[in-house]
Amino acid sequence: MSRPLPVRALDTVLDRSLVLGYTTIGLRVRQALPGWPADPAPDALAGRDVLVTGASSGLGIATAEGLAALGARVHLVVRDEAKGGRVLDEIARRRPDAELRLWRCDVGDVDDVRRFAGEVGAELPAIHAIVHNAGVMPPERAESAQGHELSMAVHVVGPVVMTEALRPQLEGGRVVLVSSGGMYGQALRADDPAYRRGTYSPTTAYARSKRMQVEMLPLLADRWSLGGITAAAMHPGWADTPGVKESLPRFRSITRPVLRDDAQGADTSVWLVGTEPPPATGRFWHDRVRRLAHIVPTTRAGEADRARAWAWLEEAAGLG
Amino acid sequence: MRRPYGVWAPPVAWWTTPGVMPVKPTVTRTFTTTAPPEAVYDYLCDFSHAEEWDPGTLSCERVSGDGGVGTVYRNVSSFLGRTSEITYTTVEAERPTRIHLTGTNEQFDGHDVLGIRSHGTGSEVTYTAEFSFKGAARFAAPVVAAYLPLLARRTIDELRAHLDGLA
Repeated sequence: MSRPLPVRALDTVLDRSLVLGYTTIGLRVRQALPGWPADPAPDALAGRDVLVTGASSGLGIATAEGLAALGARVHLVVRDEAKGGRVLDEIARRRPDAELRLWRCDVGDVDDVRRFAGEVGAELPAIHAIVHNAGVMPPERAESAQGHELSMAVHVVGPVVMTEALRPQLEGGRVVLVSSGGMYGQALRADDPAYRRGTYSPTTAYARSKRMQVEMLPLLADRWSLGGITAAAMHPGWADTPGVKESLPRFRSITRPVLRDDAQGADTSVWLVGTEPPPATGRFWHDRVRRLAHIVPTTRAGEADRARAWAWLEEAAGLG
Repeated sequence: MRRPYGVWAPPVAWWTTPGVMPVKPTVTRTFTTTAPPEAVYDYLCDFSHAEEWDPGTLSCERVSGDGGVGTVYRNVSSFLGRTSEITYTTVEAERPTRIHLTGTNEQFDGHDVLGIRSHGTGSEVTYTAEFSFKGAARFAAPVVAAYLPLLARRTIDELRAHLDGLA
């Protein structure tokens, strides 16, 4: 839908100011402006199967609930089954007619992702969407079972392996990578995806892996388009999630009054899965609008770096 | 040392400033064509077809290779009124979604990248050209950057017409 020029201008100012755009203020202003993309139809996902990873906390719960509200059969993919079970019960209490199912998978472990994809793929002939929401911010540098830096393993390698393994079921469906505005501050580090050089910083590792998602998205989208799969990355804004509470307590104490709630943070993910027609593939989204992948020129990746990162991902995720 | 760009930094010519991350003049355009991805790929992966679709190319011939990674082309182009010879090498070839060639001579290093995706019964294509200049030629970068939008429009018009002709 086209939006009037003053609306687009205001929206851009909100976006670049970060604080206004990424908080609850930005979302509320945008929702009130003309041209705000319409909500998906109330039964948009009736009878459709949707997977949400990291569904046992924060944005994952809100995403699962938002998708259930559109009629989807929601598959909660979690690492901790006990915690996931409690979340499932909670959602079921609030939405008695929701169809929910719990699965265990450690997205940071490629072998476990393949095991999970095999099981879920054997049971579901068609999957409408996967929302790759699972996230970590390791306080110390950590490695996955396959030796990848853990943020990179959970945010990039695992989601790609899972999507690849479920390509037949996903035909005509959608993939959403939950990214972060934190990636705006980091350039693509194709030279050091394992974060071996320099002093490890949890926020830098997190933001680098989110940058990697956004830089690889167009290439993944091209690959997956052959099966009619639409891929998107989105930025939830600044939401008051358990991840933020645990990893960024100071950021949270300053910004708390204007932080988004989980449903506001999940809004664009739910919209990307439910809206018709499917949004254009390979784009980065925030608040239901396509956004630039860069705000500052110094984070722009050269083509040599992008090729190098792609070669790394092809190897790490076993893309043939 | 990295120059501290703020969010509101003016679009100055950072690629000519010493000590700054060398951001290169780059142009990216996305367009749709009625040709399916495989046809687009097969046509574009043979870079000698640049004679047809690239308005700047005077001649382009394959020197060695079978069309896959490592294939080398000799390209003679006219750019801003000057004729130069550039050696292009295929560095990525993933049928039917990704083609990447590097071009090089004494004064120039460049990348031509094509991303091809299925779009309805046809394709959507993203063409990216990245330029970097060596030695004295690097002072041409701002001129090239200024000229790129026009060059891109002409190139895309030609490219699209030829691709639509394949459908």
